[in-house]
Amino acid sequence: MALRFATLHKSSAYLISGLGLGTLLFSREMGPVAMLLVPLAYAASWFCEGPALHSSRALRAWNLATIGLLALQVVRAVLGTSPVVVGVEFAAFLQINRLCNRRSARDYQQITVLAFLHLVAATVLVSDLSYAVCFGGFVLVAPWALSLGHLRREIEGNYLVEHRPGAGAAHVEVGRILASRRIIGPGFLVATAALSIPLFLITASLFLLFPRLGIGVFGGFGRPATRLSGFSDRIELGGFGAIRSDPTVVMRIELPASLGRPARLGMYWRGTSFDRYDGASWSRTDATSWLLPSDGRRQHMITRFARPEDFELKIFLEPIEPPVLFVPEGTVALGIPPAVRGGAPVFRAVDRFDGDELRYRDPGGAGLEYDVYLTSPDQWPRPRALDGPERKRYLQLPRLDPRVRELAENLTRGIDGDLDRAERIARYLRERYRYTLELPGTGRDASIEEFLFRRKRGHCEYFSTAMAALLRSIGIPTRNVSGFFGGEKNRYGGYYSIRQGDAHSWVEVYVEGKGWRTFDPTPPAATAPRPGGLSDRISDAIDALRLKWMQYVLSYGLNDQLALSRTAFDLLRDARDRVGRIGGERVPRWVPWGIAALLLAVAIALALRRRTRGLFAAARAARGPRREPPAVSLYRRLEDAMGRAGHPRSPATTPLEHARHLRDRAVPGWQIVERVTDRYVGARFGSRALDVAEIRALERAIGELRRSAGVGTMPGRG
Amino acid sequence: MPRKLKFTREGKYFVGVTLGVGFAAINTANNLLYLVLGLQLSLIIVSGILSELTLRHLEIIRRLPTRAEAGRTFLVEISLVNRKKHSPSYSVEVEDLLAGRATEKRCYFLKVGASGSQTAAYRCTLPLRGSYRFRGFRVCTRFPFGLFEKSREVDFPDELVVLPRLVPVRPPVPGQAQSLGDDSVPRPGLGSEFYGLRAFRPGDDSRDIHWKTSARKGELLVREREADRGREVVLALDNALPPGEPGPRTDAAMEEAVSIAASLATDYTRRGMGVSIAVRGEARPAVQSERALQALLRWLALLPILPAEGAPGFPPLPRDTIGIGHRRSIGLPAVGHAFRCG
Repeated sequence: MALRFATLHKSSAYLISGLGLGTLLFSREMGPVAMLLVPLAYAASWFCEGPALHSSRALRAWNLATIGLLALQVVRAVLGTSPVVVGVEFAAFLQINRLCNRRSARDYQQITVLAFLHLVAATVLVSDLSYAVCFGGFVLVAPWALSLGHLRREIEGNYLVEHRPGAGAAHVEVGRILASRRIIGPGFLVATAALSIPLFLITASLFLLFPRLGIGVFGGFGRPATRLSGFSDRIELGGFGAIRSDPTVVMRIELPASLGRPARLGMYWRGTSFDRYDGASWSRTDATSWLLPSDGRRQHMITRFARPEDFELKIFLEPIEPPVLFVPEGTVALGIPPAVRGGAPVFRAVDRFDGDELRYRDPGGAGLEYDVYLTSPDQWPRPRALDGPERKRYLQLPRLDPRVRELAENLTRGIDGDLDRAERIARYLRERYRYTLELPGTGRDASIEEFLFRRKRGHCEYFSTAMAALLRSIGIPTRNVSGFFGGEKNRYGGYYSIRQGDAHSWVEVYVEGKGWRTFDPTPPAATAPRPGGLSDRISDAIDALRLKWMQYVLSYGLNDQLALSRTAFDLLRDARDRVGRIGGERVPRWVPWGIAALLLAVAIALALRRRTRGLFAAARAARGPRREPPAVSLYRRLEDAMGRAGHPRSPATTPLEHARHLRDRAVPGWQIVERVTDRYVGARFGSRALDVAEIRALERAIGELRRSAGVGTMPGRG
Repeated sequence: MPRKLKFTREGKYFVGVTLGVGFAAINTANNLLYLVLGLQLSLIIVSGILSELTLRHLEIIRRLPTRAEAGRTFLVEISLVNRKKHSPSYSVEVEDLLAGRATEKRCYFLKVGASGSQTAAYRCTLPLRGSYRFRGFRVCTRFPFGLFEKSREVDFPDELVVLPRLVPVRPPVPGQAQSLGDDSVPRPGLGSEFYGLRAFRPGDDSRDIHWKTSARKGELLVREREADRGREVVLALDNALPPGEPGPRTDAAMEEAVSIAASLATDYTRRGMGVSIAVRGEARPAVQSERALQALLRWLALLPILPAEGAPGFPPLPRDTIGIGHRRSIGLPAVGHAFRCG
């Protein structure tokens, strides 16, 4: 059933404005009150109809409200509210204002413009899949909204007055036309919806082809980074417990085929480490950093540069704060693609901090895609020995209950070697203690002694801290490490997702001759796999899409364009090679290129011909036919003059008949017409050629006729 | 025919915003801005293709009125025929081209269905008599998004002869100075003068029965009237400019003279009188029917105004010719009644 034009137009305007507001809401840059009010006001505005829309009092109230809110937002910004929050809320209000005051096509046009501006503004506020959904909606809805908006403008502009034969002009009610069900049918809606397909394809093509030169001077816009609480310079005991259930994906990992595809990735992804423990929190003593050695192009050396036998893991890191790089144990090198500035690749530096923390520079806001080169444990390079001050730092302890040392000594009595001692303590904690997310209170209840000797339950930080304290108390250098452990295989993407909830804490123990070795004292119950229900499947599907969005849209850059062009070039070369062999004979290299150039030239010529055909035709018409006999040319001019004088010759009348007709009616100038016609017929159909003098005389006569007939539309001027 | 493309106001803003987004995309290297830029450019491309499809396979027909007078508004009908078999054409505007210029008269067609047609009309007022040549149409559309206006011109030559303006006149009373009818050979007709009596025939109006004579003669007799058309009026229109510099006022006066001549001819003809018009160097035979009157008016519509120098004289005219000419006209013959214009 066909809908009224006005209803369809209103629906399309609401769809597009809803998508615009959606991008603002998804940005989460609104206060809680605004987050609640905006959807409610959006829904309520649908019912603003009839006289209420045209009331001057209502209009005045809206104007006052706009000014009032603007003042309020300025005050809020001055008082410290984020300018982004203030601006986003006001932008949403403007759209609600328009939706409640949609009287004419102009108001609807403003609604569409605002929706579009929201979409543009959201490019710096939102970057996750919600933007992709809104953008896709825009591609689908924009043809509806724009075309219906255009038709409404035309209706309002053209249907104010109607002319009827036999009657004066009558005013036509625009409302009657807007209420018509005959203007827009299902065919129109389907056709405009189908427009989204070419729109999408062209958009995608243009997106891929725009050169990413990176010549910007206002860089730095990007996705808001996720703040990771376990990776700042200082962590309180208990920090990880709060994020244990956070499903936000932090990074995704693609394994090489040689490592298989386990259901769960049991790798420790090291982020940062701490050497100083004060009884309640961990921190770093030394904040110095130095640049990681690199090849100046892509590779950064941790222990050595990558070799062909190394395993290459691809990491997609979400934008995080601080910009820590996560690497597993045994990483020898990193591969980071260069950034692009001014059309040239720019090397991206990596800093190594004390405690082997790696941070990348120039975060940008789009996250980072990097490679990790791993080697097998038997290939690990020889470690650097700890010097005296360093060893002292990793043995630092606050004043602890003497029972801590006693416990450590009891556990390691009779065990030789730091590696076995560490393993004994780790096994003790894993077997005798329980994992829980129930956080203890503060002060004494949160102390490591309380955990070890009374509560015997806690989360990973308590386990790692307890192990570090026990090892340090018996003189084994240890550091507390924050990172991620786990990684669920995505059913649809084939990669492994590391979520915020996978944040973990463990210890690294320095073993003479072997270097820093990882020990995890936390019981395995804490890392139980997910049940794999429907919600997990949906979550996996969404995350797989999110990765594609990040890979192919957010992170798409000049390097990808170069790779794409290389692929296209390879395909062309393959095609050329295939074409180049005809019947087993090698065709000269220039032949395929010659054929391609020829085809291109033909296509251009056809396009030019098509475009200029009309122009040439017009020029020919202006010049008159080439090589036309003088008699014909003269008669054409005569016909033109007769036409101007209001006596055109009908196609059914011969020139002689026409001349006779004019003579009978005594039309002024009939003598000239008869004379020229006589000469024309004689020259055209007889053998009487016109000499130059006669042609001149006839031209003068025709000129006289033209002048007497007048040149314009008014024949009465001599 | 070649197409013309121009921005609408909205289109200018749209292109401006597109350039802005492009600038921002390059500056910030924000891929989402590149995505928006791609959408904007694709909207422009799709808009160009759809507007082309809208303008294709359209046929336009103009229907001019059978009679048009100078200064009087008439309707010109424009029919738009969509020859596309499957797709309708939306939002098409047709502008009539008069002697190579736009008339500023447009007809808007919101929707013309596939293989369908629609007719619209525009009001037209042409101030001067004469032959007007319609060259064709400029057909344009801003569909689908109103960002650009694409147009092309379509040839459709036609001609409209605009008759002189008919003005209210007080014609001299026939039968006095101006009547040149042959009174000695009266003919029966529907005029006002008494002609004679005759025997009643079925179908005669009973009000025409002359009861007094019928009673005296003993048979029904009816009155017969003289036919007015038996009278002929000769109008002498001086179509030569008066001596001196021609100017707008002179032009207006000359046109007024033609209008008066046309109005007098119309008035007399509709009263059943024969009217003949003489101008410089030419005389038109008398007309009596409506059809002949239209031909006479058409002739007047195309009557050239001659320059003062070298204009031929009037042919011999009867004594009671009604003269019409410019106030300063010196060639107007001695007549019984003269209309002076200007």
